[in-house]
Amino acid sequence: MNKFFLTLIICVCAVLKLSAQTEWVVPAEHQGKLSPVQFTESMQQSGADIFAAQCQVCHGMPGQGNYNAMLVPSPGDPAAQKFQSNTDGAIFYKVSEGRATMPSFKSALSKADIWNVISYVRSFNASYVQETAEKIETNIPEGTLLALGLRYDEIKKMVEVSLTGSLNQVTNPVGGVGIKLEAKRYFGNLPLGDIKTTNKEGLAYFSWDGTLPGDSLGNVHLIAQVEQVEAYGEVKAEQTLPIGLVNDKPALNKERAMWNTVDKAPLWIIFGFTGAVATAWFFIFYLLFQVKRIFVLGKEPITEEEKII
Amino acid sequence: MSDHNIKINKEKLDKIATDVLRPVGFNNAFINWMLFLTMALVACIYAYVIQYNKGLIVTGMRDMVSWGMYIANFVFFVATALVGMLISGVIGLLGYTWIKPITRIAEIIAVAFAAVAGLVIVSDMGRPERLLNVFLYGRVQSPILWDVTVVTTYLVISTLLYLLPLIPDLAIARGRMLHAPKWQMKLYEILSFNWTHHPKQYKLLFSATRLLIILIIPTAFAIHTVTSWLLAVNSRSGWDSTIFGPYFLTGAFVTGMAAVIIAVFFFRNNYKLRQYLDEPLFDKMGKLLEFVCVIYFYFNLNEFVVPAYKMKEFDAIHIHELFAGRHAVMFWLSQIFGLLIPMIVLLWKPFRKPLPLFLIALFVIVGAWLKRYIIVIPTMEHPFLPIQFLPGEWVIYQPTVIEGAVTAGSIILGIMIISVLAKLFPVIPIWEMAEEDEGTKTKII
Repeated sequence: MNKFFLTLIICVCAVLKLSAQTEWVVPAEHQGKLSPVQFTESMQQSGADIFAAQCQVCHGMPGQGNYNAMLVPSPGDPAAQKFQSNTDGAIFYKVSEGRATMPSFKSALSKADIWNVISYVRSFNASYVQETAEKIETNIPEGTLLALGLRYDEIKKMVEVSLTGSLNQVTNPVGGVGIKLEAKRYFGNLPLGDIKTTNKEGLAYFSWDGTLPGDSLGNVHLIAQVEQVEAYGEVKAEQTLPIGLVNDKPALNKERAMWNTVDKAPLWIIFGFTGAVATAWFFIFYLLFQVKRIFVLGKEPITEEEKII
Repeated sequence: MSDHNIKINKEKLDKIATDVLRPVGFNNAFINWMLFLTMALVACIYAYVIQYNKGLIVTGMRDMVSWGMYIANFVFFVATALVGMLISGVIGLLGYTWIKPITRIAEIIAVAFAAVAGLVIVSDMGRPERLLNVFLYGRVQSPILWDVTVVTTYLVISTLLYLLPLIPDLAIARGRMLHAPKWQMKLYEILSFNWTHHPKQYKLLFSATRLLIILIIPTAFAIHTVTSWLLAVNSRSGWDSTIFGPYFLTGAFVTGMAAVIIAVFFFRNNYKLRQYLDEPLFDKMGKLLEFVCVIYFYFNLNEFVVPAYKMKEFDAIHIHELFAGRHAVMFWLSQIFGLLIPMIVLLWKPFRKPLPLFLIALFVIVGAWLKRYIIVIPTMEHPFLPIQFLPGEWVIYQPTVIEGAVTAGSIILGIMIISVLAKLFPVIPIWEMAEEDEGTKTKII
């Protein structure tokens, strides 16, 4: 009986492991996701730039097959059949979520950026025909130009994001739209709090306690954007504000260290090295001096009883 | 030792001087031999000229494997050079006198190999004209700077240890080599430093040589430990080892002993010095080789069994490449024929006779060269951070003909230096051999 269960467990594990390595299942609701706009040449161009900076290290140049084969699971060539057989939605999901060695780009790339990358990758597939998503109806009149504003409210101790829409040179606040706030980090953006909906005045507030580490001056680069890109398009505001924690740790090359330049080498290694070299060469010169004494002694007469030969 | 009085047996001295000085001098056979070596060397220098003009692109080294055969060869040369320290320093200071006839041969090997080691490292430079920058702008934290410093120091100390005990011999030879060419006598006159066999001169010579053989021990330890650190201070699999210093050092003793045995066997037969380089001496050298082989085997056991037991991710890749992968043939050849079999057969006396010992030493030295290749190259092929977009042929290192020729050139150059020194000066220390027995034995060694 035990043997039976053991075999069963091993089989299940083997199947799971196998499927984990070969198959990447995309949930059905994400499969059919489509780009809200038709791919253009400029989208491909910016997709190519993003691809070179973020994707190429593992996936290689599309169509060249020079991806990093040492990684598990294998990244694969984006131009290959296996890759291209994914739906647009599946690629979007995989880029956003990531798995194992493939990082999640959800916070590193905006949705528009991901679509740009997909448009670039699709440019290597001659038989690809794009479908675009149906337009989502909103309560904002057609042709309204949306704009985001971003500032820090000293009194409320909150970050205030304002959304306005202009139509026929009339600007009005826009309420009821989801806004997300992020801080720029080394890899990707850090979401700050939950998504907030703009009120009647078109304002959304994000509480701020000032503990987020900034640079040496306390500067934090904030990005506010409309969450529902598919409905409203890409609307974004960026601002660098001195509201973070001042990060004044000394630079790694400030003190004496093994990795520093020679004039900032650790003292023990300077004295150790020069001391050892000086000692050895002191004896070498002492020995040369002895040879000189041997030479001088050659002029001295030798008495008969002192003779060696 | 300073209160010690040397007494040299006149009759013994006459006989030894006659025997040892007979092969000294550039005869026709030697000139032909040198012509042959020179021609081979010129071909190798031509290969280097190509490399100098075109750069390191003519070698098999690329982004991934940037240390190739040259570095392996450098480690081999440094290793072989250490034998001067083993014989004169360690064994000599322990008071063993059987090494007397081979001290100078060991020192010749040390000088030749240390000198060529410096050149080998230059051959690995893409811009050798910038060599001086290593000294001018070197970082005191870098093992590269330590290495060039210590190689230079070791070469100077080895040269002194070769030349100082030679002084009385040159004075002896001056009165006896009546048919030698004038320039050779002039050279002997300069290098014998006014030697008159004055007891005070002997006293000075003893103290100077004693100081040298003490000084050469830490220097030799430093030279090969630093060489091992060039690799061991990296965290790469195969190099990231705390025992790399002693592992290299004991490996060097094996290589050096093999080189000395080969040289001693050659001089015994070609210089007709069987009386001095006799069978008991070979037996002793065989035992010493066995001893250093056992220690080296012990370090090998630690170096390979411990990571192979743990099989950490990257170590496992490295170990697999060595044990069963692309480098397996070379690895097992060097371990079995260059270490294991010699270590076992040397336990029996018949294998420590001159000819069998000479053959074993040949296997050991070839195995030792391959071992250095095994230490340097496979590790380079497995970097922790994958290097991207490399063409396939860059990932696997394949030495080119030019690299092979330059490496062969370094070996030829080493043999040439040994040949010249062995024909220019006596290879056996005459005055030390002619000393009165026991009681008055020189404490130089």
